[in-house]
Amino acid sequence: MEEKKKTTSVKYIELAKLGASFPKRRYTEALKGEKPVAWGMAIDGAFPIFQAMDVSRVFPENYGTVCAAKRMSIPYLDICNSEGFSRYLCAYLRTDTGFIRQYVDRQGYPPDAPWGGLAKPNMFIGLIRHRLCDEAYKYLVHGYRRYYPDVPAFFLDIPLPPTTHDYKEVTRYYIRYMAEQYRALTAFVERVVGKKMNEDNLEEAVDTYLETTRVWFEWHNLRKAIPCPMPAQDAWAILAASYWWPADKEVLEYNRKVFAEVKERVDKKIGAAPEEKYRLMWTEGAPWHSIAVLDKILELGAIIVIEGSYYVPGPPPQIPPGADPYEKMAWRHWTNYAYWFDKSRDSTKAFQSERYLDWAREYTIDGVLLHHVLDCRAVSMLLPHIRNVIIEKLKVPSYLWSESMVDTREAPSPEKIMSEMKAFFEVMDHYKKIRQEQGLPVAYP
Amino acid sequence: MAEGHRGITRAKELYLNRDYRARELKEEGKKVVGYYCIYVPLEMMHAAGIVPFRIWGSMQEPPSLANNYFIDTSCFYARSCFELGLKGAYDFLDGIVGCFTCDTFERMFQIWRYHIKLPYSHVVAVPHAIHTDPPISLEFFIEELNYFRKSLENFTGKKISDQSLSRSVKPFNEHRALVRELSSLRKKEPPFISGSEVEETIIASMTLPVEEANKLLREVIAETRNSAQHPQNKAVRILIWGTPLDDVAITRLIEESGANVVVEDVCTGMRPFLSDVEATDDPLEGIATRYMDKLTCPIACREAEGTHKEDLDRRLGYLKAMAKDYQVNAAIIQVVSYCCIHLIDALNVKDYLREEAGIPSLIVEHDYNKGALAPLKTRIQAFLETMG
Repeated sequence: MEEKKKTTSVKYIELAKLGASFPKRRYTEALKGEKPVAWGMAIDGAFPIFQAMDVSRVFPENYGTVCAAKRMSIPYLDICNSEGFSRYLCAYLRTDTGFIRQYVDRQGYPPDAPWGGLAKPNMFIGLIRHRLCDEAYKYLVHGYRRYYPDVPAFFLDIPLPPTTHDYKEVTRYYIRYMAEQYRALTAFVERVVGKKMNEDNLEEAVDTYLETTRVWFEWHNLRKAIPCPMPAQDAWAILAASYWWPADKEVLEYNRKVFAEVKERVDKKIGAAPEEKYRLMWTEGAPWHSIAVLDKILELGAIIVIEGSYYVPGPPPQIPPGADPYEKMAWRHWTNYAYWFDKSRDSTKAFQSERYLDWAREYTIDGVLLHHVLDCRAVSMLLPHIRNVIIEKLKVPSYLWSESMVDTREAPSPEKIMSEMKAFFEVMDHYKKIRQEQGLPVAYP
Repeated sequence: MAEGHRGITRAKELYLNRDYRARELKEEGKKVVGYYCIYVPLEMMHAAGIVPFRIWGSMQEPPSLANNYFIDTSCFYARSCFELGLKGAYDFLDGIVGCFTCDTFERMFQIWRYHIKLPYSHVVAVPHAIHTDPPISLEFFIEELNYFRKSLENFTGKKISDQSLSRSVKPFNEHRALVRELSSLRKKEPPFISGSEVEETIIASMTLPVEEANKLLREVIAETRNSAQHPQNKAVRILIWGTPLDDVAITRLIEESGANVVVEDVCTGMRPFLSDVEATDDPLEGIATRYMDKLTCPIACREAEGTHKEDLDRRLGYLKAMAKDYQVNAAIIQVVSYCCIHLIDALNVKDYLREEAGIPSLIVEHDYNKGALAPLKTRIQAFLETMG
């Protein structure tokens, strides 16, 4: 067991305190074995299908974060290493490999597994989403089926056009292909669970999904307020339910309540920081095992007001009349990204950098915390590009925060982070003056 | 480059001077467009009157400049290609074409476009999940190839007819057949030609317009058949599997350690040459089917409702046949660090070759750096010693 340290953060929004309860309940329910269980990756946009088919979904990627937050990853990582998997592979999925090996060897759940463990799968859903991460299908299916060789798998191919494409010209066939993929996935799930999809249930689940993501998008936008009502610590706590189960009505209700609470704080100008001085943007995955240090940073007046492209849905989609549920799901997924992909075509050439540029402007950012995740290339590869274009175009500096996303042996100490953050405050002050001189936006002149 | 050299000598020269012919062609007014993956449909570029040029990295120049733009914990090979681009090694290109294969090259392409301005660039989205019932993947890919066709037409100002596409298929199929023929000269014991010479020739052929590549291959094949000098008979016959080997350093290392490399399933080796484009009424359908469904890159997924074993048979069965065909008795699975696609399947390939063909394998990760091969050498020598 790793050294016990405070790993949870302070919750500034009351409802954030409930953040983990929903996912934990879902994982525990799946362990009962009363429903078929699908293992998958997030952001595949297929949530309504599983909701409507009453299939439990668990997410190895998410379970990796749970192990990391509880500082229980290292024994699993060590087992994974002995299995021959490279240490350069996704650390979330390597953590799960250690768990799976134990599960298979014991023919049962290891007694100390966080949240009781990952329920045994009845199916794998590999997600091929160009620009996400190859391991979301490669490791999940070709890696994990080494341990569950009889569990059937489906590959869901959800492409988003390259930035060389004119979106107006290709939307038609991309949407059609995505909808076809969702239909094929439905047929696969029907075969595995042995029952047909109830189309009414699907319609209802899709509507819930669309509404949850709309409300989620809306309360995120409220964080543009100065002072910011909600830090990243809260957003990360809330996101788990929204990110993985957005087609669930309980999650929709939860988001509505979050919206109301955040709105009230904005109206009353209640900020999360005692005295907000610096507005920060965080890129990509959360620092699950060292999240508590963000509270110390916040006490100094530096608040993360917007975080990673993983965690915020795009604006509500403009769905053409007559679209069926599968097409609606495709439009939802498409709209999460299409605007920035299209915009980046003649600008920074990359969706990620374009989106962060927009956010840096809209949220009046003073500095960027670039989360260099040593064991996740998908989210880290473009960090230098993001840093370069943001300072080039907006004169906003960045700080590189390097660590493993689960392995506490490869994490900076809180003392080191605090010391470097104080130096970064001076850098931000310097660039704030430059922005003022150049007429660029500054939250606190 | 000396004038008048032919066959193996010319192949070696081209291997060492890979941009030589491309620069000549550029000066002659031809459009030369770079590409970096075996999924790029070269026939379409050819039909547009473009000379496709494979983009390489360099094992002699570890990335440094590239790290200012691309995180240093990512694929050394991709960063090396970009490094050369930043240093002007590809300043003769009129454009670049990529495709959605691995997420590293997809992102690298974006950075490339931002920092290295070229008149033309395009990315082809290739489906990785191949769903055949209904054939939604093929339908999508044909749409995507039609979009590529339009993009090429806009760039060159020239229409690409179905007839010209069909015509362009032929020399590329011939290229593939000639590479297979050259490689097959290693099936005998001892091989007629060494692995490193075959690899040099394949790489050289990828630096040329396809018609010239075919001429070069015919010369090398004839020269090899007529030569009295062959590699020594060695007890261990190696199959190399893994990430691109655009430098023969690792192959030479294996050969110098006492084995013959008789076949390599890498995308600068046999992998792009194992399957042909079939003639179809709509030539794009044949091209789409070949590039989507017949390439053996581990990026591709097959439908996997059956067991893991059935999936491996579908995806890796060709390796068993290849091993038998080439009398392989050991495999080196080499993967550039951070290539998760190959790193995951490395374990599957190792198990599959052992269980299905009785072939032992060694997995080695490396940093695509010629100056850092010493640890590899020790491991490979130790592995070969275990083979007796």
